[in-house]
Amino acid sequence: MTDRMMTMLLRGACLLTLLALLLMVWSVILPGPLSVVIAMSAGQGIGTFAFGLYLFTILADLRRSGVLGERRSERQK
Amino acid sequence: MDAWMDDPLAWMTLGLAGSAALILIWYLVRRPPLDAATKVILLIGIAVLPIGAAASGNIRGFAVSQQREFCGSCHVMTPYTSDSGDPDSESLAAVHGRNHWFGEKNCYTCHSDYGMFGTVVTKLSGLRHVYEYYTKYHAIPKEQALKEIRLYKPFANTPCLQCHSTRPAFWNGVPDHLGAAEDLRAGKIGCAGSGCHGPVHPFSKEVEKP
Repeated sequence: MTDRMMTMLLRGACLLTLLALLLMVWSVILPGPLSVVIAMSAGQGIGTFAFGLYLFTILADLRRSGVLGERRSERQK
Repeated sequence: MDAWMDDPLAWMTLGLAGSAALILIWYLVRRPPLDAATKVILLIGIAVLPIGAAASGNIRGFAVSQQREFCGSCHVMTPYTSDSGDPDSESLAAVHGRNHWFGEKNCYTCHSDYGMFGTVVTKLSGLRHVYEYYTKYHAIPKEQALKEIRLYKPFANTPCLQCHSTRPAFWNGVPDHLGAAEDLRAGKIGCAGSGCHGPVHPFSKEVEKP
C-alpha cells in the first residue's frame, strides 16, 4: 500500500468518524425517534467502519515497516 | 423532550465527541506524518473517544426513549400520551401514570417485554414503531390514525403481573378473579380486556375501527 493510499484511507476514516460523531450529537441535542434510531444504528455502523479502516491502514503500515510480517526491504528484493 | 443541558450523560457524550472531533480536525488540517505518535493520537480520536461517546450516548438514548414525551413525539401517539398524563383522566393508563413507579415512563413500563431478552425485544419493537410511523402514519391526521392503529399482538398479561401478583386474599376474593386465576397467571387471558379492567385507552375504542 502506498503512502498516498494510506493517507487517503486515514483521512476517510477521520471524515467518517466525524459524521458518526455528528449523528451521535444530533441524537443527544434533539432526541427524537428518528435521531436516536439513526445515531444508534447508522451512526455506530459508520463509526465502526471508520475504525476498521483505521485498523486496516495501521496494520498495513506496520507490515510494511516490518513490525508485523514481511519487511519492506524483503518485499523490494 | 427532556432538557439535555441538565443531563450529565449528555455533557459527557458531547465532551467526548468534541474532543474526538478536535483530534480528527487537527489531523485533517495539519496532515502530520504517520509516525507512532500520530497513530496513537488517531487511535484516541477514531476509537477511544468515539466509543466512549457512543456508550454514553446509548445509555442516554435508552433512557430518553423510555419517557412518555418521547413516545408522544410521533403525532399519532399524542392522544395516548396526553390521556395517560392527564391528572383528571380515569383511564387505566392514566391511573397507572399517576403512580410514581410508572410516572413519566408509564408507556414503557406497560408496553415493554418482560422476557429474558425483554430490553432487546422492546427496542426492536421500537424500531418497528419508527418504521411503521414513517411508512404509514406520518402523513395522516391523528384522528384517522386512531382508527387504524392497533397493537401488533394482543396485550400480554406479563406487565400487569409484575406488580399484581394475583396472590393476595383480597384479589382472590373477587369471584371473577377466582374463576380465571390460572388462565390469568398463564397469560391466556388478559386483565386489560373490555369488561374486565380495560380498555386501557378507552378513547381509542370509541372510534370505529375497520
